[in-house]
Amino acid sequence: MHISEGVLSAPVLVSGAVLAAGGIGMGLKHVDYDRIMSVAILSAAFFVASLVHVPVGVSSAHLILNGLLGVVLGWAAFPSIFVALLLQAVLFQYGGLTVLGLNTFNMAAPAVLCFYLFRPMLRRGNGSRFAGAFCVGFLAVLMSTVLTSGALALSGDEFLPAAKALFLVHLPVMAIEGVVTGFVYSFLSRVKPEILKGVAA
Amino acid sequence: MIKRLFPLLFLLVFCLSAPAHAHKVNIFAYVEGDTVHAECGFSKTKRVQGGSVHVLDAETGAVLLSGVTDDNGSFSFSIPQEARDKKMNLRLVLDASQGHRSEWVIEYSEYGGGDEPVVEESAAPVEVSSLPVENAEKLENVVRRAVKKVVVEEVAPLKKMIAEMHNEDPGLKEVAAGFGYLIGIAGIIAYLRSRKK
Repeated sequence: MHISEGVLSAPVLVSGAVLAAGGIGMGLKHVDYDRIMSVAILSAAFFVASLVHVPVGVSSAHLILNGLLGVVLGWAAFPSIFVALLLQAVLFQYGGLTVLGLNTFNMAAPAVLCFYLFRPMLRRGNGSRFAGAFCVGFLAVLMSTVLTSGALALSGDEFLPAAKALFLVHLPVMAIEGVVTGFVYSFLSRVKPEILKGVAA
Repeated sequence: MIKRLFPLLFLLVFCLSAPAHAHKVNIFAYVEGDTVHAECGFSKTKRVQGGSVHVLDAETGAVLLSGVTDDNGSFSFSIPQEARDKKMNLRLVLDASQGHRSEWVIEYSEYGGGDEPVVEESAAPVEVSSLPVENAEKLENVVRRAVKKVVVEEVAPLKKMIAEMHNEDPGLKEVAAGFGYLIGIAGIIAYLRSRKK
């Protein structure tokens, strides 16, 4: 779901960059610097997830894992995703430097939003914890497809066909990420609950 | 916590050993005679099928012609006379939908170097042996044309190879570099924080 360089109009790019900068600022305030390594490791997970390809009919999509970052990191997902996207742009040539801000916002904003939406569920017992984390994983990708098609629409593409295509291609990705996020979250809350301080607090 | 997350990371890295396709899109174009071949792909094996390619004048941005890639992600067109006349640099823009776009520029010097298109010249072979020896200038021209034709043929596979290399997927090197950067950045932040305390 990386948007390439040269597709979007300047106002869209600039507003994306501004929004992303705001998110990164919030993120840097919220980062628990004693656990900076777990932020880096989740960044690394996001970074390589883009290489895990899910075949969907004739097309293909890759994992994103933004929901997982949201559920573990909260606001810190912003800087974490930003750095991972920067490395993807530089090393893999996915996306590009001018679209970095908008791509960051498209991936990170749903992660943070889902984190707040499902936080009550995540705090409860085992069953609803898994369900909550599943929803975060699933919905974060869904919202990213909406944001991405929205950005494309603002630059000339028709919204509905683009959104529909992105949604269909990413359906299996949403399901996989929901399950992955559910399991990882349940696992972490059992063996290392202190890392999920943001949720428990 | 770090120890506990490592199995997850290893799992992800293992997934890499399977052919990984991701959504970067590439276009690579080369000139053969008076035809331009464009190769478009998301990766080496995953080609852009039915993506639209627009050929623009690189200076003015005027669209000269447009086309659609076939099942192998290739699109070929003969260089328009207009481009030749105005000595345009050609910009090829690939639009593979859903925000995937890539560009490639072919400069005038790449296709307009010779006096005339090579392929057309070869259509009228000249009997070298029938030429009078004193007509050295003519002979030189004939040899030049022949050599040019052979060189174009010989170089074609090389150009294809370069096109394929251009579509290379990210490998272990890039992944390792990315991990290194991330750990490094985290390390620097941790160090700066610890000095503040």
